[in-house]
Amino acid sequence: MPADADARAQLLENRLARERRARKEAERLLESKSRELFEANVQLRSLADDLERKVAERTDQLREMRDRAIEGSRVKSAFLANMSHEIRTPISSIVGMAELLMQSELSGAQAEQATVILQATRSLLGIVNDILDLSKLEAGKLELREQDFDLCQLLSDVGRTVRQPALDKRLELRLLIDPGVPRFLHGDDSRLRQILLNLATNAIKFTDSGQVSISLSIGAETGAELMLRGEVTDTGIGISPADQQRLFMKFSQVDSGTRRVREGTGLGLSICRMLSGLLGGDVGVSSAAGKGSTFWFTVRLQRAGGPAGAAQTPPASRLIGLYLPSATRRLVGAQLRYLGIDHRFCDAGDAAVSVPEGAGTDTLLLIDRQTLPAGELARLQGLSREGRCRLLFLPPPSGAADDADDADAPTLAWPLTHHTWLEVLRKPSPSAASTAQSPGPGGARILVAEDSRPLQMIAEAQLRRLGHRVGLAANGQEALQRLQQEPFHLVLMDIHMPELDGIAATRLIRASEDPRIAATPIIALTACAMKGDEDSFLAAGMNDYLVKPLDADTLKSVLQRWLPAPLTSQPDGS
Amino acid sequence: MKGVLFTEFIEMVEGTFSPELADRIITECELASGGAYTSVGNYDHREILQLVGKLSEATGIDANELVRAYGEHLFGHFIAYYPEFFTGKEDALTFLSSIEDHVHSEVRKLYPDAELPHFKVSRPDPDTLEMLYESPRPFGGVASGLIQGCCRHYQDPVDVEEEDLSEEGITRVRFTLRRR
Repeated sequence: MPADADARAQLLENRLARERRARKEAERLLESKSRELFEANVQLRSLADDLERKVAERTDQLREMRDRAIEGSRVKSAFLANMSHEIRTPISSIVGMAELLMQSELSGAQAEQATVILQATRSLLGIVNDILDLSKLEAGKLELREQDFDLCQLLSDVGRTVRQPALDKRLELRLLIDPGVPRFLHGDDSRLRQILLNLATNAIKFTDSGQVSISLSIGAETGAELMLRGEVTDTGIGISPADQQRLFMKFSQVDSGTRRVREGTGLGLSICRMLSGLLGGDVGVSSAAGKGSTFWFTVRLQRAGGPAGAAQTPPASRLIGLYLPSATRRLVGAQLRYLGIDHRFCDAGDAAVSVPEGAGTDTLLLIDRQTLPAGELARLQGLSREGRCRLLFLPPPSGAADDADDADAPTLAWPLTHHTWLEVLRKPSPSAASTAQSPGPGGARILVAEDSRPLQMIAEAQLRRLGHRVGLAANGQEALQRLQQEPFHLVLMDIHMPELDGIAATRLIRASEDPRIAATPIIALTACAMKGDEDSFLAAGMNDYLVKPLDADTLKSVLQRWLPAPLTSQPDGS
Repeated sequence: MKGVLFTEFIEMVEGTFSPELADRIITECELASGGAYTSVGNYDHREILQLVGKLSEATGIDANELVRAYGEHLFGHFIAYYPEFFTGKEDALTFLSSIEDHVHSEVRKLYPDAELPHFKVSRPDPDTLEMLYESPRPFGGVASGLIQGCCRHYQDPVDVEEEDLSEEGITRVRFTLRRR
């Protein structure tokens, strides 16, 4: 073998040896890298596990803290809700006493002072009610109380409730219901009323001139269920977009100079929001500063059949509006159209101004003293006297005082509501259109069980004014004794009383061996208008309830409902 | 030092001179590694100094020249194996200014233990690049060859000025590149 070839072979052998070593080194490196990777992976996984454990731990801690915070808030809210009774009782006393005071013989200055006391106390009661409502909502204690109701009645109630503040500012109030909205509905009417009242009161508060209109329409409808949409539009000072965002937050009031001077807790809107949320809806606002605002809300309700009988069918009367300004026509027309009441409007120079031949007292002529042409009044009064029609006067704009009432032609109460027309058309005699108070059935014997002496006095005074005789008891035990000693037609029973409370007393009365005592109607008197509580009153055997401070009209209507009629006999049935 | 620098050196010797010469200098150097290099391994940097010295002896070429030539050869390897380093780099100066930030960071992903030299770069004007090479190892010549290789690759007419600023235990060379 030549040396060259040897050298060549040696070279290749050397290279092969080096390559083999290099390969082994590379494999060793690969394995050690793989091991490192594996270990890094294990470490990562344990880090991840650790992290997960920590996250779980922190989540638990947070949950615990959150639960504790919620519980704390709930306890506070519950405390506040329980304070309801304690706070409202003395306020009720002040309201009642101030009312009594105002009905007594007072000098002009004294009457004015008493009015201030009454107004301030009512405003205080409103604030307290707001705070308590909110605390109840937050404590989750507010339960819905669903029942059938009449939307016309509800809206009219709202209109009448805000009547005075609107009158004070000479604002126009327009109450409207879209034709598609069913009149009879099922749901929590008291909460719907509360939302409407809150928004309407707010609108009036922030509007110095112009009008506030409340309109109801249908948002969406599925089967028997529908979304009622309410809008309260004012011509007030408006709200800037920045302020709108803060508006529905708790304890926030729009902080502009103009708004700050207005009173209020700033809770009304957040209560509205919570209530509409509770009723499956929402609230919102659209507004431009200086141009007025529209607050809207939605609530979920069900269609209801409505009471059987005539209430649903519009009365077979017809109404003719004469010489009415166009704004009035629009409002009256919309209200009558909703109710399905036959109506038309006639104008000056219109041939149809003359009353149709053969018309009778079921034809109502609606006239406005302000716009009636001279001489027309006498002609129309003549027609009325001939029995060819009945005359109705519109209330003057913004309910301004009007002395020129007419025995034959009553002036409608302001503001015009759907209920106005139902009442006017339901009652055949002209005098019935006025809202004069009838004394109601008097002469009943009523036992008032109430531990607060001022509230006893107020109830007694109110009952006496309605012509009833009153017995008093300071607690449930005394009430039982009085019932056994002498007969009563009805018991007004306070809930919170020492010794024997109203609920326990009611159970004992209902369990009485004497059927006469056991059957006595019992009306709860409560300072806390909590829905759940009312159910418990009824469950205990009470027939109805009244919320303090006692409102004279409500008291009267509840008594009418439960007092045996006619009240010619003594309660012992002899 | 990364094995790739050794395998590329051996390949250069084999290609430029002969496999026999490569085998001879490896054998004569009596290297601790035995010259069995794998590109993914790590080896003592002094072995390459031994090999360069031996090659210089055998060929009569100045060791510095050999190192510079090696640098140029190495750049060819980078172009072939790591073309992604060059995308988006339109000229030599742009590529060279990105070495520290881009190329070295990519190298560290593959070899976290790689001991890379530092380049401080500055660009006083668009046609000038200053690179300060700094390394505990005396491979300023490799850097110089790499820079040349880069300029050649981009066919960029660049004058390179070198200034040795080395101190005891640290090699520091300032390269000033000026585009003609």
